[in-house]
Amino acid sequence: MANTTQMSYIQNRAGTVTVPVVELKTRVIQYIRQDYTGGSWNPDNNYNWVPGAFYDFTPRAPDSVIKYTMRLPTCKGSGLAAHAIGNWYFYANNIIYYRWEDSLQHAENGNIWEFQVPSWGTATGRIGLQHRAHSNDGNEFRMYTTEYWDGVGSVQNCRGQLFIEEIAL
Amino acid sequence: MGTLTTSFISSINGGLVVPIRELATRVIKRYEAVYTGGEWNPDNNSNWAPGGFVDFTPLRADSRIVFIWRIPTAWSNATHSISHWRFYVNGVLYYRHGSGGTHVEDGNTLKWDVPSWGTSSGRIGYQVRSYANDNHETRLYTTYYWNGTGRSAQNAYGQLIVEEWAQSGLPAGADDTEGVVRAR
Repeated sequence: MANTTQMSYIQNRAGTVTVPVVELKTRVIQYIRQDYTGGSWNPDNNYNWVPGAFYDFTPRAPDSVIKYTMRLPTCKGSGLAAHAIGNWYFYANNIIYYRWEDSLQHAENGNIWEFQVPSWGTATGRIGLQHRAHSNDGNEFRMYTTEYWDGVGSVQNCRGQLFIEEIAL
Repeated sequence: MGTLTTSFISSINGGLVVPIRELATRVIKRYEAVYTGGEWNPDNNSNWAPGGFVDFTPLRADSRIVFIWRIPTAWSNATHSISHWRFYVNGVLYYRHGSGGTHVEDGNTLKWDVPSWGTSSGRIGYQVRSYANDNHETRLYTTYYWNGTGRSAQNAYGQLIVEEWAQSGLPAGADDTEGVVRAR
């Protein structure tokens, strides 16, 4: 291959760092970060893409791993039933990889969810979360908001953050 | 000057070929600490959570800083615990969120990714306050129930990891702050 240097180790001039070339195999080859600043999101009892929690991603390699990390604050909807219930799907390129449910009385949380899935090739595919409420505007979580804040009942917008790393193995 | 210019590095047997451009994204500094100090009892002022912050000096001005905090929490007094969390970076409030529930206990992991603030020391981490002191309150680094018994407050460890990642594509000093909160 043109312009290729073949060697077993890389070393700095002082000789204090020696890196075997084979240890460069696992590396991050693509990175996406997306901040959500759109304020509270009110789901209904259909599955919908959660704003800020999905991305149309194009892997660079078909044999890599895609690491998805979502920081998504949630709480029970202010003035709604005390028992919030929400249903979640995690999709990657149209495949449901995981599903789970959140449920709690007076729930409020700054959740982090992280998944790793294999690359689906080098075509663009959507990766992210769909959500539905147990009952619309009843037993329901709201996203990117609070119910209580600083010692009072206070609905405040919160930001979300999505990171996607593509890791060559 | 000791610089090798090439487009690819290959292992000696040719079994691995790595484009140099794929080495751009890498961890260049890492901090890790385990908190073993036991239960922390907040009040209704926002205070730095012990074990949840560090004074960190980035190596580069164009890197990104990834903050990961494993922080167990539990209710303590009223069954409905409520707490308020603020994530600061070098004096700027970046993110905030609530944490609450009835009889809630959790081994939370909180993670953020922010641009470097330059190469001077800055504090990165969390301030936490209770909704009401010793009432609707979340305690940190503890449990409420443990191993099948009623009230059994056990100390739980926390862990803080801060990674500095060199990478291109993220604008240095980008204004990703919760500006609305700062103005309040």
